[in-house]
Amino acid sequence: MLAADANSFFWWQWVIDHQGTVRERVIEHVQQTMIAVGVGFAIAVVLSIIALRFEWTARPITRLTGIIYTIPSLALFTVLIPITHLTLLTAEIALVSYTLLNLVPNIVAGVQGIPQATRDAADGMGMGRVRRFWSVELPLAVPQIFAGLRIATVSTIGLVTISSFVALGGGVGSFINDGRSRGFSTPIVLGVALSIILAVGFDLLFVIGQWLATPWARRAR
Amino acid sequence: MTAPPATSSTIAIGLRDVVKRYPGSDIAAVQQLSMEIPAGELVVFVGPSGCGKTTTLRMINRLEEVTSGVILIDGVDIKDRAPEEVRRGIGYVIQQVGLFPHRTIRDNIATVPKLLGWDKARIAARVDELVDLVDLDPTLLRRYPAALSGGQQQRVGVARALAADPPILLMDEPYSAVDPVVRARLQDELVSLHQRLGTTIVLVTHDIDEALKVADRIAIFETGGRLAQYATPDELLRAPADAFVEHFLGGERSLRRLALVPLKSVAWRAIGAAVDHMPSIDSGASARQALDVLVSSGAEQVVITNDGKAVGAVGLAELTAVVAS
Repeated sequence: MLAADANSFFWWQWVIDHQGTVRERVIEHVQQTMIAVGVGFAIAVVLSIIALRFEWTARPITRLTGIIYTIPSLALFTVLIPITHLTLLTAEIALVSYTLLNLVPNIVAGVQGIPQATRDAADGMGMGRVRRFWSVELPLAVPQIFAGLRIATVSTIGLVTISSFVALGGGVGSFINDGRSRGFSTPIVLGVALSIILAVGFDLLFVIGQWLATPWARRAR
Repeated sequence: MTAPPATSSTIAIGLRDVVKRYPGSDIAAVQQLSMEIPAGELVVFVGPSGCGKTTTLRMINRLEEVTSGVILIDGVDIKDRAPEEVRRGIGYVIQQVGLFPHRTIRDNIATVPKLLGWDKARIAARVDELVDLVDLDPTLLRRYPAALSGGQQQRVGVARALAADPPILLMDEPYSAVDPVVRARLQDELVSLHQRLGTTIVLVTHDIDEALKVADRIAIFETGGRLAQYATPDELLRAPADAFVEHFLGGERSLRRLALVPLKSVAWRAIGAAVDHMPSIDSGASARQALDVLVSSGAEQVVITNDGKAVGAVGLAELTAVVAS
């Protein structure tokens, strides 16, 4: 199957010949993912603080993030293109919007799920509301926040792949695009494989990151 | 309801006509409560659930706000100070302990000193002092709360509450989540801690026996937030104010009064010639324990010993006199 010509299912020599492009595309993919998740996380924290501080906003905010998520990605890209044109911005607007669904409810639920006794103790010690949030509530919500970040990142990696179908940015999805237009299987296989490797790799990074960030949760009770 | 005059000259906490009404509820959780908590005393709020004892405690550190009335700490209305400031000057221990799971034991204990901006060296020295004070294994300082037993967590909770050496300590059912053996030990430790530190302590419990065991003074609350009686354990057992208090205290009041009286404060009789074959008891025991020896041995008197030497004796007459007074 791994024969050495262009007609085989996967032509390894082609990958070696294009390793410069491969590296470029992977970096591009990672960058686009990180921008989306980074900006999405910043917005999600702000939205979550609003939702937690003013309880009546919690439901509309989480609902809105849910509604955005139901818009099919290709459709959203298409709608945005006339406004923001075929730019990276178009892709990022869509990608950031999608991260919110996984991030906001996780941050909100993570903070709300903290035992009342812990909150009570923080108040009783004389912590103000702001300090309580940053030094008690947010750290204790880390496991759930990481859970949200993992899903958001993995799904963003997939969406970056899709964004290249409408020629928005590149990423490893452009190999799939390229292969489809030329009827050439090697780049398709490469694109799919790289997408999976990136997703699994990032997921693993988050598992390690969470382990490092939550030393208190390492030992079993 | 009038409180008995305080034995100490200074009042640590004063409540004047305090009323607490929760929105949407017709009945007050606490009604027209006036009482004085003398500095350095261990006062226990006790009563059935829904009697307002916890609400009253939480009003003292402003975790609940009074609907009307005034609460004074060292003569100053707590409403004149920011809630955070009031709370940093008051230790607070709760039933579920509420240690911060993401912080080491050392950092948990250091919470209030950090809030107060102490420097690192001072905090470290204070933590070591507290570990000693609450009898905690120092190797636990690097661990996280999840690694500790219930009793150890409760000790850390007390150390954390005492960290900034507050003049007042509030404890909300601190021992109801630990097993009876650990509970009894923690109660003993609390009494000795209180004697050493002289901190004013207000403890809430639903367990009258816990109250009788540790309290200098007990406030019995009745369902609906009425203060039924506020008196020393001995006064309560001797003269319950009404049927509610009597029922709440339960039976065997004379025996329980005897349990409160150390043998040392009973008027002993001189010992006769032959004490060798008589039952004996150490002078550190309670009057009730002496009675137990009397009843189980059938003897007419029990010899009191001090370091193994006979120093006196008590019989039924002396013990009866204790309860009669």
